[in-house]
Amino acid sequence: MKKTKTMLTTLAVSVFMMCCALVAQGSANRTYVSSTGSDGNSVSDCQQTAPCRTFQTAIGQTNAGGQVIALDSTGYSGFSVNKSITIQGAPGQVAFIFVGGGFSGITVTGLSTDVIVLRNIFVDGLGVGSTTGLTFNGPSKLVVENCEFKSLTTASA
Amino acid sequence: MDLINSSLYGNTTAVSASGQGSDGSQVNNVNAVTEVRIYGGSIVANGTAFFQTNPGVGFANIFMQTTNGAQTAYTTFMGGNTTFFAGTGTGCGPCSLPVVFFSGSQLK
Repeated sequence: MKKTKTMLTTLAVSVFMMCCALVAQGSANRTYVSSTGSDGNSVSDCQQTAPCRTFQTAIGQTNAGGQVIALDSTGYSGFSVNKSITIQGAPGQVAFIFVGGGFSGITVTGLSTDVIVLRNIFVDGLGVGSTTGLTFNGPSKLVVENCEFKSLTTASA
Repeated sequence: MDLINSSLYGNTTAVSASGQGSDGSQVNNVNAVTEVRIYGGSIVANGTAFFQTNPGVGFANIFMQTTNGAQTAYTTFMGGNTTFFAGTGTGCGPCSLPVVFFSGSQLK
Protein backbone atom coordinates (compact mmCIF):
# COMPACT_ATOMS: atom_id res chain seq x y z
CA MET A 1 0.00 0.00 0.00
CA LYS A 2 2.79 2.37 1.01
CA LYS A 3 4.73 1.49 -2.14
CA THR A 4 1.69 2.21 -4.30
CA LYS A 5 1.20 5.58 -2.60
CA THR A 6 4.83 6.48 -3.23
CA MET A 7 4.52 5.52 -6.89
CA LEU A 8 1.37 7.59 -7.30
CA THR A 9 3.04 10.57 -5.67
CA THR A 10 6.04 10.21 -7.99
CA LEU A 11 3.72 9.96 -10.99
CA ALA A 12 1.81 13.07 -9.92
CA VAL A 13 5.03 15.03 -9.47
CA SER A 14 6.26 13.90 -12.88
CA VAL A 15 3.02 14.94 -14.58
CA PHE A 16 3.17 18.32 -12.84
CA MET A 17 6.76 18.88 -13.96
CA MET A 18 5.91 17.93 -17.55
CA CYS A 19 3.04 20.42 -17.53
CA CYS A 20 5.35 23.15 -16.20
CA ALA A 21 7.90 22.36 -18.88
CA LEU A 22 5.26 22.61 -21.58
CA VAL A 23 4.12 26.01 -20.27
CA ALA A 24 7.71 27.27 -20.23
CA GLN A 25 8.13 26.26 -23.86
CA GLY A 26 5.11 28.33 -24.91
CA SER A 27 2.12 27.34 -26.93
CA ALA A 28 1.54 30.02 -29.59
CA ASN A 29 3.54 30.93 -32.67
CA ARG A 30 2.65 34.62 -32.41
CA THR A 31 1.83 36.55 -29.26
CA TYR A 32 1.06 40.22 -28.56
CA VAL A 33 1.60 42.86 -25.90
CA SER A 34 -0.02 46.27 -25.59
CA SER A 35 -0.37 49.23 -23.23
CA THR A 36 -3.87 48.05 -22.28
CA GLY A 37 -2.93 44.38 -22.10
CA SER A 38 -2.82 42.16 -19.03
CA ASP A 39 -0.42 39.41 -18.15
CA GLY A 40 -3.48 37.53 -16.96
CA ASN A 41 -4.19 36.98 -20.65
CA SER A 42 -1.36 34.49 -20.72
CA VAL A 43 -4.05 31.87 -20.08
CA SER A 44 -5.24 32.55 -23.64
CA ASP A 45 -1.68 32.80 -25.04
CA CYS A 46 -1.53 36.61 -25.32
CA GLN A 47 -3.61 36.72 -28.48
CA GLN A 48 -4.04 39.90 -30.51
CA THR A 49 -7.56 40.33 -29.14
CA ALA A 50 -6.34 39.72 -25.57
CA PRO A 51 -2.71 40.84 -25.44
CA CYS A 52 -0.39 40.58 -22.49
CA ARG A 53 1.26 43.55 -20.82
CA THR A 54 4.93 42.56 -20.68
CA PHE A 55 7.37 41.01 -23.10
CA GLN A 56 8.53 38.49 -20.51
CA THR A 57 5.10 36.96 -20.07
CA ALA A 58 4.46 36.86 -23.81
CA ILE A 59 7.84 35.22 -24.43
CA GLY A 60 6.83 32.46 -22.05
CA GLN A 61 3.72 31.81 -24.14
CA THR A 62 5.54 31.80 -27.46
CA ASN A 63 6.85 28.73 -29.22
CA ALA A 64 10.50 28.61 -30.21
CA GLY A 65 10.76 30.25 -33.64
CA GLY A 66 7.72 32.44 -32.97
CA GLN A 67 7.13 36.18 -32.65
CA VAL A 68 6.17 38.64 -29.93
CA ILE A 69 4.69 41.87 -31.28
CA ALA A 70 4.14 45.12 -29.36
CA LEU A 71 0.94 46.68 -30.69
CA ASP A 72 1.50 50.24 -29.46
CA SER A 73 4.14 52.59 -28.07
CA THR A 74 4.64 52.21 -24.35
CA GLY A 75 7.02 50.61 -21.82
CA TYR A 76 7.06 46.83 -21.75
CA SER A 77 9.68 46.11 -19.04
CA GLY A 78 12.93 44.27 -19.53
CA PHE A 79 13.18 40.63 -20.44
CA SER A 80 15.43 37.62 -20.80
CA VAL A 81 15.28 35.24 -23.71
CA ASN A 82 16.87 31.83 -24.25
CA LYS A 83 15.23 30.44 -27.37
CA SER A 84 14.77 31.30 -31.04
CA ILE A 85 12.28 34.16 -31.22
CA THR A 86 11.57 37.56 -32.80
CA ILE A 87 10.59 40.39 -30.47
CA GLN A 88 9.51 43.60 -32.11
CA GLY A 89 7.48 46.77 -32.01
CA ALA A 90 4.80 46.87 -34.70
CA PRO A 91 5.55 49.12 -37.69
CA GLY A 92 5.10 52.74 -36.66
CA GLN A 93 5.19 51.87 -32.96
CA VAL A 94 8.10 51.80 -30.55
CA ALA A 95 8.42 49.33 -27.72
CA PHE A 96 10.17 51.11 -24.83
CA ILE A 97 12.24 49.45 -22.15
CA PHE A 98 13.39 51.63 -19.27
CA VAL A 99 16.30 50.15 -17.36
CA GLY A 100 16.79 50.59 -13.62
CA GLY A 101 20.16 50.82 -11.87
CA GLY A 102 21.97 47.49 -11.58
CA PHE A 103 19.84 45.87 -14.27
CA SER A 104 20.07 44.84 -17.90
CA GLY A 105 17.12 45.73 -20.12
CA ILE A 106 17.50 42.72 -22.41
CA THR A 107 19.48 39.56 -21.70
CA VAL A 108 20.06 37.00 -24.44
CA THR A 109 21.38 33.53 -23.70
CA GLY A 110 20.55 31.03 -26.41
CA LEU A 111 21.93 27.84 -27.86
CA SER A 112 24.24 27.97 -30.87
CA THR A 113 21.33 26.81 -33.02
CA ASP A 114 19.03 29.61 -31.84
CA VAL A 115 18.34 32.79 -33.82
CA ILE A 116 17.03 35.75 -31.84
CA VAL A 117 15.83 38.94 -33.53
CA LEU A 118 15.12 42.23 -31.76
CA ARG A 119 13.48 44.92 -33.88
CA ASN A 120 12.08 48.38 -33.29
CA ILE A 121 12.83 48.46 -29.58
CA PHE A 122 13.97 51.57 -27.66
CA VAL A 123 16.06 50.94 -24.55
CA ASP A 124 16.64 53.90 -22.22
CA GLY A 125 18.75 54.00 -19.05
CA LEU A 126 17.56 57.53 -18.23
CA GLY A 127 21.12 58.36 -17.18
CA VAL A 128 20.93 56.08 -14.13
CA GLY A 129 24.22 54.41 -13.11
CA SER A 130 25.03 50.71 -13.65
CA THR A 131 22.56 50.14 -16.45
CA THR A 132 23.10 47.81 -19.39
CA GLY A 133 20.83 47.95 -22.41
CA LEU A 134 21.58 44.58 -23.97
CA THR A 135 23.58 41.72 -22.49
CA PHE A 136 24.48 39.08 -25.04
CA ASN A 137 25.93 35.92 -23.55
CA GLY A 138 26.06 33.92 -26.79
CA PRO A 139 26.41 31.49 -28.39
CA SER A 140 23.14 32.02 -30.28
CA LYS A 141 22.81 34.23 -33.34
CA LEU A 142 21.48 37.64 -32.38
CA VAL A 143 20.20 40.26 -34.82
CA VAL A 144 19.38 43.73 -33.49
CA GLU A 145 17.63 45.87 -36.10
CA ASN A 146 16.24 49.40 -35.97
CA CYS A 147 16.70 49.63 -32.22
CA GLU A 148 17.90 52.53 -30.08
CA PHE A 149 20.02 52.45 -26.94
CA LYS A 150 20.22 55.69 -25.02
CA SER A 151 21.66 57.06 -21.77
CA LEU A 152 22.92 53.71 -20.48
CA THR A 153 26.15 52.89 -18.69
CA THR A 154 26.78 50.24 -21.34
CA ALA A 155 24.46 50.12 -24.33
CA SER A 156 25.46 46.71 -25.67
CA ALA A 157 27.70 44.15 -24.05
CA MET B 1 25.68 39.79 -32.78
CA ASP B 2 24.61 41.89 -35.73
CA LEU B 3 23.62 45.47 -34.98
CA ILE B 4 21.71 46.75 -38.02
CA ASN B 5 20.50 50.30 -38.60
CA SER B 6 20.40 50.95 -34.89
CA SER B 7 21.29 54.06 -32.92
CA LEU B 8 23.37 54.26 -29.78
CA TYR B 9 23.66 57.68 -28.24
CA GLY B 10 24.44 59.31 -24.92
CA ASN B 11 25.79 56.14 -23.33
CA THR B 12 28.88 55.87 -21.15
CA THR B 13 30.02 52.99 -23.41
CA ALA B 14 28.13 52.26 -26.59
CA VAL B 15 29.41 48.87 -27.74
CA SER B 16 31.36 46.57 -25.45
CA ALA B 17 32.47 43.13 -26.58
CA SER B 18 34.36 40.49 -24.60
CA GLY B 19 36.10 37.36 -25.78
CA GLN B 20 38.05 35.94 -28.70
CA GLY B 21 37.37 37.90 -31.89
CA SER B 22 38.27 37.39 -35.53
CA ASP B 23 40.93 38.38 -38.00
CA GLY B 24 39.14 41.05 -39.99
CA SER B 25 41.52 40.64 -42.91
CA GLN B 26 40.06 37.20 -43.57
CA VAL B 27 36.91 37.85 -45.57
CA ASN B 28 34.07 35.46 -44.74
CA ASN B 29 35.69 34.57 -41.48
CA VAL B 30 34.37 37.28 -39.21
CA ASN B 31 32.19 35.05 -37.11
CA ALA B 32 33.39 34.64 -33.54
CA VAL B 33 30.72 33.80 -31.00
CA THR B 34 30.48 37.02 -29.00
CA GLU B 35 31.74 39.58 -31.48
CA VAL B 36 29.64 42.53 -32.62
CA ARG B 37 29.16 43.42 -36.30
CA ILE B 38 27.69 46.81 -37.12
CA TYR B 39 25.88 47.75 -40.31
CA GLY B 40 24.48 51.27 -40.75
CA GLY B 41 22.85 53.24 -37.97
CA SER B 42 24.59 55.79 -35.77
CA ILE B 43 26.88 55.90 -32.77
CA VAL B 44 26.78 59.42 -31.42
CA ALA B 45 27.71 61.37 -28.30
CA ASN B 46 28.87 58.44 -26.20
CA GLY B 47 31.71 58.47 -23.68
CA THR B 48 33.43 55.55 -25.43
CA ALA B 49 32.09 54.30 -28.74
CA PHE B 50 33.78 50.87 -28.71
CA PHE B 51 35.38 48.89 -25.91
CA GLN B 52 37.03 45.53 -26.56
CA THR B 53 37.99 43.05 -23.86
CA ASN B 54 40.34 40.14 -24.67
CA PRO B 55 39.80 40.11 -28.43
CA GLY B 56 43.01 38.12 -28.99
CA VAL B 57 46.34 39.12 -30.52
CA GLY B 58 45.79 40.59 -33.99
CA PHE B 59 42.06 40.09 -33.66
CA ALA B 60 39.12 42.39 -33.04
CA ASN B 61 35.72 41.59 -31.61
CA ILE B 62 33.92 44.68 -32.91
CA PHE B 63 33.54 45.24 -36.65
CA MET B 64 31.84 47.74 -38.88
CA GLN B 65 30.84 46.46 -42.28
CA THR B 66 31.28 49.05 -44.97
CA THR B 67 30.25 47.06 -48.02
CA ASN B 68 28.45 43.86 -48.81
CA GLY B 69 29.54 41.32 -51.38
CA ALA B 70 28.10 43.44 -54.21
CA GLN B 71 30.04 46.46 -52.90
CA THR B 72 26.92 48.29 -51.83
CA ALA B 73 28.04 50.87 -49.29
CA TYR B 74 26.87 50.94 -45.70
CA THR B 75 27.26 54.08 -43.65
CA THR B 76 27.36 54.22 -39.89
CA PHE B 77 27.28 57.80 -38.72
CA MET B 78 29.72 58.48 -35.90
CA GLY B 79 30.27 61.75 -34.13
CA GLY B 80 30.65 63.40 -30.78
CA ASN B 81 32.08 60.38 -28.98
CA THR B 82 34.65 61.39 -26.37
CA THR B 83 36.77 58.26 -26.98
CA PHE B 84 36.57 56.40 -30.25
CA PHE B 85 37.81 53.04 -29.02
CA ALA B 86 39.55 51.46 -26.08
CA GLY B 87 40.09 48.02 -24.64
CA THR B 88 41.82 45.76 -22.19
CA GLY B 89 43.25 42.25 -21.91
CA THR B 90 44.72 39.88 -24.46
CA GLY B 91 45.29 41.57 -27.81
CA CYS B 92 44.92 45.04 -26.39
CA GLY B 93 47.99 47.12 -25.94
CA PRO B 94 46.63 48.73 -27.97
CA CYS B 95 43.71 46.74 -29.39
CA SER B 96 43.26 46.32 -33.11
CA LEU B 97 41.04 48.97 -34.58
CA PRO B 98 37.43 47.86 -34.42
CA VAL B 99 36.65 49.40 -37.78
CA VAL B 100 37.40 46.87 -40.47
CA PHE B 101 36.55 46.92 -44.12
CA PHE B 102 35.20 43.55 -45.09
CA SER B 103 32.48 42.07 -47.19
CA GLY B 104 30.27 39.05 -47.36
CA SER B 105 30.85 37.95 -43.79
CA GLN B 106 29.02 34.93 -42.46
CA LEU B 107 26.34 35.35 -39.86
CA LYS B 108 27.37 33.43 -36.78
